[in-house]
Amino acid sequence: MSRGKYLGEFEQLVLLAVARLDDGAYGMSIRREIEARSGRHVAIGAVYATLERLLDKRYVRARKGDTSPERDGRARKFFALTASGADQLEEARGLQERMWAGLELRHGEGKA
Amino acid sequence: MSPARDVKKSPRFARWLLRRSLPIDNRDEIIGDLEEEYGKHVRPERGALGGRWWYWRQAVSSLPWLVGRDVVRDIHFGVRSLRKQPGFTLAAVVTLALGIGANTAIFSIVHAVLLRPLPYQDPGRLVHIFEFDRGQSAQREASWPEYLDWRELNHTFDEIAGYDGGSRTLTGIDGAERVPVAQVTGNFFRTLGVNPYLGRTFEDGEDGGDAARLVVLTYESWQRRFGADESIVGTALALNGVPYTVVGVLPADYEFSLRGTAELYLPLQVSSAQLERRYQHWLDLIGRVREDVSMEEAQADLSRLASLTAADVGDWHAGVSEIVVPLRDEMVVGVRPALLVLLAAVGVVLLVTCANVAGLMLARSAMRARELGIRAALGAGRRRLLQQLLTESLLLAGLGGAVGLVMGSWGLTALVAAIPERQRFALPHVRDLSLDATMIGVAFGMTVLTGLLVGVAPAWRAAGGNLQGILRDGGRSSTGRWRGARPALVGAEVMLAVVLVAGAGVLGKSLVRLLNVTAGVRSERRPDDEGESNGGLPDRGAAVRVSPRFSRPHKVAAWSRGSGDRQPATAHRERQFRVVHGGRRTARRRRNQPRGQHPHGEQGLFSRPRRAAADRSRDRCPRRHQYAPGGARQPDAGGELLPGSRAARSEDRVLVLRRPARLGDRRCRRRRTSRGA
Repeated sequence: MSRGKYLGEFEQLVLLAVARLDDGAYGMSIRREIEARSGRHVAIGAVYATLERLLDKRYVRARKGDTSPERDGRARKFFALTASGADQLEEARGLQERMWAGLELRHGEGKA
Repeated sequence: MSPARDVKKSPRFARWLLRRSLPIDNRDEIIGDLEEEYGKHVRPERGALGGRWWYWRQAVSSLPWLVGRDVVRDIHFGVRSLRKQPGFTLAAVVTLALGIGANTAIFSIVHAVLLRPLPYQDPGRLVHIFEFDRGQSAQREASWPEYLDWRELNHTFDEIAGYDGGSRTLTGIDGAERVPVAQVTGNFFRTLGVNPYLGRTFEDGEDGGDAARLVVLTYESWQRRFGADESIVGTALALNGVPYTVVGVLPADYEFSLRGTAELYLPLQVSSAQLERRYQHWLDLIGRVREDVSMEEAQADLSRLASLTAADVGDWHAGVSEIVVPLRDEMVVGVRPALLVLLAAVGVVLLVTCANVAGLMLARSAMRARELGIRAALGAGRRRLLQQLLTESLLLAGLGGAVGLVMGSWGLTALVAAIPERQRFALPHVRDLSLDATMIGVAFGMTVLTGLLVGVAPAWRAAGGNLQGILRDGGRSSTGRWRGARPALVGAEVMLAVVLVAGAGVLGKSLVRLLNVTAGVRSERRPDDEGESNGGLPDRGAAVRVSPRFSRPHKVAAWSRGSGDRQPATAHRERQFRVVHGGRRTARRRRNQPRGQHPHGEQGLFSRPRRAAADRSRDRCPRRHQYAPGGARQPDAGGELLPGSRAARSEDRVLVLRRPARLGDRRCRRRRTSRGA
């Protein structure tokens, strides 16, 4: 696996949010999902910048959605996980698990 | 858009900001998302104020993610397109580098000389004080009794200090050497606010009629002559064969550019005649104005003292007033106009550079019209194209600026090296001038400025024209509105170039004169008034003492007054002095010529020597012999200053300043030979 293929932390979060939201994944819902689960402020711009990168890598695909008056007449853009995006997430998870396997951190010890 | 009016509106300015600055490919989704979220959830949940806060926070924290991405893309694209046309890029970068480099170098000098604070404590309060004689419209130094009066009776100065130049023979292991010195009053360093690096400076009472035999070294002299010996304080030096005790060393950044070349500082020695004579003007003065006092008040105070003096000593002092000028003005009086003209000239060079590169870019953008048309057709807005093109020109200017900074730093080194040493030391901050933060800042500012100047017209032309039309025509026609831009640019360029060339002719001459002002006398071997060997001259009393100040013409008058102590100044007001340079009279003038009019001094930078035709025909070559008073022929004293032959014949005192033989003298030799034949 080349260096460029590693998922960044925020990229993983966005991909996971897209996967969780299924059909309802658009910028703001992704932002809300991550904010709700991580408890930290997430800028909508960061979400879109990341989605743009993921689109370039073809881990997600996008389609234009509906417009509505609440949106000032601007269309939504929905995102969905691609097969390679799903693979990438699995890969990242497997890597994490392999790294964690058999490891236990004992807090407050071993620092002396 | 009308439906959106129904919901409670989001902060208008934040929305406008987003609309203006978000990249086009995400703009609609992001604003739409924000509007929806704000109207549906945030505002109902958090209230009007909380909602607005939320919206603003989202907007502000989102921008860096997206705007920066555009800039990075533009830079990538710019680099690619510049690399595709290496010829154009090289030409533009070199041109810009020359313009920016020249400006950076000259501005560094201007900054150092005219803008940077002098290296003293609170330099804005330091002034130079001199007398001005309205009757003769001449300025002159103070006398010792006047100095004491002013120091005593003024209400506006913290300190007034005096200094005078000179030189001494320093006898050491390497033999005897003539070194320039400055004699200063005890409060001199206190007035400047300079603390010694080692030991102490002088104190009140160490100057005067019986000055203490003490010496303070400059840092440079301490390093060079005494190997930075820390234990130097307390040891003795032999000056003119008399032991002087070293009491201190000045800090490395100390300079007093009116006495820039002095290596040693001695307490001011005042002769018994000078102690008494109110009409003997020889002492240069500086003062530190009190903190709450303006220049005008200080001036008025000294004028009051002048009138007191006039009332005291009578008629001959009437019409004399005391003048106060800021110290820096006195230091740079000779070079300010030259520097400003030079700065203006390189400014014009920069404009020509910009016009040049803008012309190149215009030509290039005409070639790129099709590319831009396609991008516009694919949905790139005008603003987006403008931003892209400006990024490219800034990139170009950035490259030019980087190369220019290197060139400017070389240029600066070369320029400083080209200034004769005496001049270099006479200007504040110039002697150790090199690349510094100011210079980098100036280069950066100039880079951005040229980037914009160079880029705006072509970018506006490219992005502002009829892009669809270009596409339709296959990019063959240029847009009508900007067809006139290039001829205008070329016209402006030619105009500026003519101004520059014409100016350069005038300026070059002045500059050469500025760089070649020499003392015209070899001061290291001249006879001195302190009683050592008089260099084989017949009559030491007749040998004229010329201080390094001789190159400052108004000081010639000062000298002549100083040595003509037989009568008050007014008595020989009408007498004339001739200054003969290299055996050739360059001017015949009344003494006390006002500054700024001397033929070859720094003061008269833009003036030409006026020579009578008769003068030109005579004295073309240095004479082999000079005449001492009494008419006895004396052998050539090797470029020393001698009283001229006229002195023997009339009351007038004539200075004959001989220069050592130079290249051009060969012609004279040949003529002499032929005459002999």
